[in-house]
Amino acid sequence: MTTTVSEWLGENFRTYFSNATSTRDFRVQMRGSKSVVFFTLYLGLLITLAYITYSNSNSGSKSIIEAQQSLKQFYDLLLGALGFIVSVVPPVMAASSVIAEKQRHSFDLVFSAPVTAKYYLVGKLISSFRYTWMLLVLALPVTAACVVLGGASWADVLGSYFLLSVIGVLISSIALGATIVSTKASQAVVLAIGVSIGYNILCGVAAAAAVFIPHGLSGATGTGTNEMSAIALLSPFLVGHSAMTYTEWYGMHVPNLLIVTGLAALISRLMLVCAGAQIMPYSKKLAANVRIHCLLYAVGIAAYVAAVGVNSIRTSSTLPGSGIAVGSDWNKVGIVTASFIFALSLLSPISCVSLLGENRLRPNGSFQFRRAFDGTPAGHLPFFLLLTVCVFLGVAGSAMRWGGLHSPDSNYWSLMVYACCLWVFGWGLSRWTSSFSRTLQQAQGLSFAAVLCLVALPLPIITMMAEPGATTHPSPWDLYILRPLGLYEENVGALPLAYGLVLCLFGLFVAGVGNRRLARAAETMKEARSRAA
Amino acid sequence: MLEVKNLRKEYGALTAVEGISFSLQPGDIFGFIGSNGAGKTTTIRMISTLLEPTSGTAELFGADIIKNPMEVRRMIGYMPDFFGLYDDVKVWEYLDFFACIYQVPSRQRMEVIDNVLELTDLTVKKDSFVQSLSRGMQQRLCLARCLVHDPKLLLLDEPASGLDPRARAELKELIAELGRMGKIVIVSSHILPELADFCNTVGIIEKGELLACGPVKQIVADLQSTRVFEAQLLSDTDRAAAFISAMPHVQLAQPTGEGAVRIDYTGSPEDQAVLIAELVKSGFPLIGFREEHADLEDVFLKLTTGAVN
Repeated sequence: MTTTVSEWLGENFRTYFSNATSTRDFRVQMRGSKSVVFFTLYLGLLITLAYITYSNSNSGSKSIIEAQQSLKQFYDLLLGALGFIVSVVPPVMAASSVIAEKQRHSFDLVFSAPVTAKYYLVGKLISSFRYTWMLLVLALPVTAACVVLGGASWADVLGSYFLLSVIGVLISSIALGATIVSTKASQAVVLAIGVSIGYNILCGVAAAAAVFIPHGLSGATGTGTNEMSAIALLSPFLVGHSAMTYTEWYGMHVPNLLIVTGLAALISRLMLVCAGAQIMPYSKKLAANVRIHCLLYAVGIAAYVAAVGVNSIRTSSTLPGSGIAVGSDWNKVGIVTASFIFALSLLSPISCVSLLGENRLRPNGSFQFRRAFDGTPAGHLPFFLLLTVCVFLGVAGSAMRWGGLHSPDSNYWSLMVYACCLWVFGWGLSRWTSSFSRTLQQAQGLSFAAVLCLVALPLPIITMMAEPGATTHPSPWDLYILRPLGLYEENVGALPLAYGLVLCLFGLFVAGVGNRRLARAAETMKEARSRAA
Repeated sequence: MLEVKNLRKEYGALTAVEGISFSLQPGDIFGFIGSNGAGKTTTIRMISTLLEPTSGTAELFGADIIKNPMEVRRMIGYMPDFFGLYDDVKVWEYLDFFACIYQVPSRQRMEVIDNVLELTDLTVKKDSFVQSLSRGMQQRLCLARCLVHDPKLLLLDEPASGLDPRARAELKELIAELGRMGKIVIVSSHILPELADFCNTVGIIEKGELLACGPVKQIVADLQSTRVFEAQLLSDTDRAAAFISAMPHVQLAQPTGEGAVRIDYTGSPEDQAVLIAELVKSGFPLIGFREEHADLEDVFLKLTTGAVN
């Protein structure tokens, strides 16, 4: 036990404080005079900006209040600029550094040594973030001037710096997870910037939504001046306003810094495990780790969204919302959850298989529950069915615990079965398209196009055929595969089950055809090889 | 010791390595011979835990490559067929990085670096940048990298490719020295004379199958069912060939057209002495009699067909 603990401590010390990867990268980054010149220019620019702002705010024509406002604006501007640096520099550095190793073929040298994915990737994160942190530290004297002159308090400054550091690590790890599949440094850089932009847009939207929807598990609407949803703090451009805020949780004021640090740690961990599963040899354990993380996070996110969302659904419902369970409530919750699962099922092309080249995703079997966690196509379907069930259970649990709803009714469970059938359908389509394609990418492209065609193509045709405003059955909309997601105001009963059954049967049929074609192609290839031999 | 047990790797419908088994003792230098695409690199990558086998396994001093890859990695030094060197780092920094990831204690690190640099004759280049080294020196630096943690098994994939004759000779001497130090060395190559000089064991692989494995002399002997002699005469080669054909244990005797007779012989050394004596006694002007030894290249060409995966 003592040995295990000391080994664990030793490993973590080596990873975070004596990491060879970060030391080597940092030596290269600091080599020569480039860095010194760059840092000097950067500091000079900041000082010049601060001097100009201070001169303007101190001019004789301004009142003390206007001068204070001017200094506050400068502080916000400075933090915005640091937010930009944090959004761009570390993700680009981390992503390009890993891809450079890939191009240099040095992965084999590193991974033939006793190095874990965690050690290597954390080293890359540290080296890229240490450089950015130097930029933040260099800006500290200028930011501190705002404290002395009256634009902000020390707590604001330190809180903001801490938050910027956490967000920088978070964006870097997301960029690392997303760009690890790139083959060129330029491709990785573009992808990292894209990921960063996407992250900031998403955080902006989430921050805006957080203003309008209740937050915290108590469902409070935010009456205190410093109360704010922690989601808003994930944006690097809002740290100046949100660093010292809190979330009310059952009467307690939990500092948002803590919540964001926890969230960032969880998401970063998931992204690094994803990246590790891509680059490490013997990655089955990591692939299983990724999937277990996904299940847990899916349950957590579903529960959180349900907690804050069920109240909105109930208040907008035309049916009595006295806390007594009514069919329509669970129907709406189910439809929203099934729609989320449908959005996920657009990812079904990852179930595609290939006959050519090295495929890490073997075996290609159809449905093997024991493969659900090893990242092979044989385990895709069981994993996604498990994910669907977990999301529905997470939502149900949360809606009952915090939304005041009673046990889910048959509407909800039939929508869950329908969501599972959507997956079977998507998976079957992937198998079928795989049998027409020579490469994995071709199969995935074809599969995605097929899903989109089935979902998007019928829309204008059915819209033209259907009578405007008609709600009676039968209707041309009854032929649409996502029909159960449109039965918002109805007590749907077993209807989603019927749709699900048809989709499931169709999915299994095309999968069967695809699997037979794949087996024949494999046989032909084997024969051709033996003839050639 | 290293024990490879039925190692197999499949890529979809393609079988790259088909059930390879062999075992090596400390001090063995194993030459892995095969055409390009025969499966040498795949096998080496599986032993070095960079590629997961489809089935089978290997054990290095009791540590299994599948069950305990980290333990195996601590005992191996892998040198791929490309350098994978980092830019903008000095020779000592490069070695320091690998010494650190192999968990060489920081107090001993500089001493270890000095030792491996001395062994690979790179001491004068300690403070040079890696990219400024010649190809031969970079190759030696790669070997130095493999040695920083004092591994028990060295896996060298095409170590001499692209080197000039002098650098190649130096590398051969270095590998032989490592064998004398008690390390197991696996060297893959398709340049046969290079391996025959210093390998005490070889394995010939084609299309993922190990066609022959064992000491060089034994493989050659196993492949030759008869011994081949060449008798050099001043004249009368046709008559001598006919005379020799009639002797016991002679399978075939043919004049070569250059004043010599080629003899395929199955007899013992004593029988061989009798044959020579009879030739001289019968008045043939015999001026030479020597045995023709097959080399690794002959064995390789005889065993393989040139097919690749």
